[in-house]
Amino acid sequence: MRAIYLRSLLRMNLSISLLYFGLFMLIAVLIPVMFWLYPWVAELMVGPIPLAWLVLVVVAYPVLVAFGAGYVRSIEEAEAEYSELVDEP
Amino acid sequence: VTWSVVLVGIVVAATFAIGLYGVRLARTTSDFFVATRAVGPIWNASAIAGEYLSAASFLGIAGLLFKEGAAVLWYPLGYAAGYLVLLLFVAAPLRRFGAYTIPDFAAGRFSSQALRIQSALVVLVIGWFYLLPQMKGAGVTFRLLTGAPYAAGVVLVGVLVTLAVAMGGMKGVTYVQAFHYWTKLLAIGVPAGVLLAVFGLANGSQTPFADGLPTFPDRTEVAFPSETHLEVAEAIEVTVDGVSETWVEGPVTVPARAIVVFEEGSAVPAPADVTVDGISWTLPFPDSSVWSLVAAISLLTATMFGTMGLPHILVRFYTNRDGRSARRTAVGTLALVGVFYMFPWVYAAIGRVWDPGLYVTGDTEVVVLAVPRLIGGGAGSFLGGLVAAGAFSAFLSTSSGLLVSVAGALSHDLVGSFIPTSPDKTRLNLFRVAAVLAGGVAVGLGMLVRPFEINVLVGWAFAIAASAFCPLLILGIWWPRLTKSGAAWGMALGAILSTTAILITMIAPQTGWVGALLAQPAIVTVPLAFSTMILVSLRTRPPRNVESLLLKMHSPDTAVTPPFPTRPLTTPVDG
Repeated sequence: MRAIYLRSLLRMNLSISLLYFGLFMLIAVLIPVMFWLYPWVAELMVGPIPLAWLVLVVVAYPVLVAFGAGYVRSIEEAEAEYSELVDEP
Repeated sequence: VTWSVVLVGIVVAATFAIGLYGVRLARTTSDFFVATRAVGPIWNASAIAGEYLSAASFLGIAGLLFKEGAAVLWYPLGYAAGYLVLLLFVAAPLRRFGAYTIPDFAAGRFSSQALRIQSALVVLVIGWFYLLPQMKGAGVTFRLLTGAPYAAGVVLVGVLVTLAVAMGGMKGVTYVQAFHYWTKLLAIGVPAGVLLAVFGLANGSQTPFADGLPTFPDRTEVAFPSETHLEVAEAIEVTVDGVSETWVEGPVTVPARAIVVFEEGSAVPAPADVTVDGISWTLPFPDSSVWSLVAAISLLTATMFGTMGLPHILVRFYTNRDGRSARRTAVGTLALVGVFYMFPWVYAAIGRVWDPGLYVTGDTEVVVLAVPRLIGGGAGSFLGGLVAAGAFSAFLSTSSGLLVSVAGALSHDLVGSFIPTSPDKTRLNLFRVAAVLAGGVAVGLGMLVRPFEINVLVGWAFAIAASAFCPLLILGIWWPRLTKSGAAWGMALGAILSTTAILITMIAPQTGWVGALLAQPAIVTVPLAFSTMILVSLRTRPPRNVESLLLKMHSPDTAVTPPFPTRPLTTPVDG
């Protein structure tokens, strides 16, 4: 009984974590690769600062927080559903 | 300097005042090691961010950015992204498990005292490694402010922190850390805003991102305390100790105690390891070789996966009420740390245009402290004092958190393993002795690391944490099949390989791809540690009775699935 509980719990929690992690890693690898392959993109000026600087010192942080907040919402919704399921006799 | 003394004094006094208040509250041993009463997510996130933003974040990022350019922007990004990874895989399960240090987790998850000792040893390596850059930051800052020798600042901060920790332990430190976050944010944010308003990014056609070499904005007098080797990229007229000279392209040696006057508009010469050329400074990769890409991704790996393995950070998640608030704390920390990291670049960019004299002497690490003084007058001196106070706040907060962890590992996990049931009072005294010992070692080693960049030293501490503790935590939390032997071998291999690579880089740096990998080993050692844990586990007998442990970690806080004790498994003492 415990083993079945555990397997379903682990699968649920891990799939949500991996979804957010995978999406984030995609961005975290693609952005360096893009700047490395196409230095001219990094150099494009957006107002007074280059695009690479804008992305790495300003845009990146709100995006990180959005990922974190999105994960908390998803996992808590899933946990609420799970708890209801478990509590039913 | 007067404002510096006043503001640094206020930070130190407030640290001790809040710390002493904490001592009166700290009655039991568990209070002393970790604040037992639950703290709300906002306080907790402030405390974690306060403890996390160290000399590397406050001085190091801007300093290295000023020196080497955009390639350094990967550091703060990885430092912040570490909290996302921690949130996704570790925060809630670890809080529900009830372990408050990594050695506690290792011991509880595998019912093994040997693993407790092994991971306590790794805590010592990471903790001491991370303390070194804090000591270095204290040394260079104190020298800049007072002209005192490097060693004076190291000893001063080392003694202050050791005293605070030996007196107050964790409880005394919790509220101090939250105070330190807001001090640091104020101290980096306000001067940055004023600098942008006063100077702006451009000086005529000179912008930080322009092609070519930076030039002196005015006639500039530079004093050289020691003999300096410069690379002159563009011939310039200078006055050395009152005598006019022409420096032609190529190397120039400036004698010790020389005073050189550079004319307005002259191209800036610099020591060979400084990136002054505009294009290389602006682009996030120093060159187009594939190794610079690999080094950047390896650095991101180390910092993203190392955060969860930092001994002084995980402890703080224990003070959350439950898994839910641990998650909220992680998101809050991510936001607070992210806001802070939006500021250091301002100092590097403005320094490049308005204070290029720092390039010439190679004092790039103090750019944050030097640039606000350009504003001049009382305002410049006040803002200069403010950044100095922020820097001290960074040394004090991170070092005290690290020292608590190192002393805890020494007294509770190592010595405590051999004398398991001793009275509260003995434990406290043991902790105090360990704190003094650990602080002494940090001060001693701190004297030796002056040649190394603050950020590079911190990056190495992250690499060791990522290689040894990240696989232990992630597999220990998510994979029921992980065995004691698997965990032990993987952790040992990750710790030993990464530490060896780093020591080789420190003592005898290599070049080419070997050098790149030895200097940033995480991209190899982290996967290697993971695969060792998995392979050894699959070859050893499956562990029994781990279901209840894992259920406890992964069940929603509200769920009434199998009843578990609410008290942590491994708390040593309860008041």
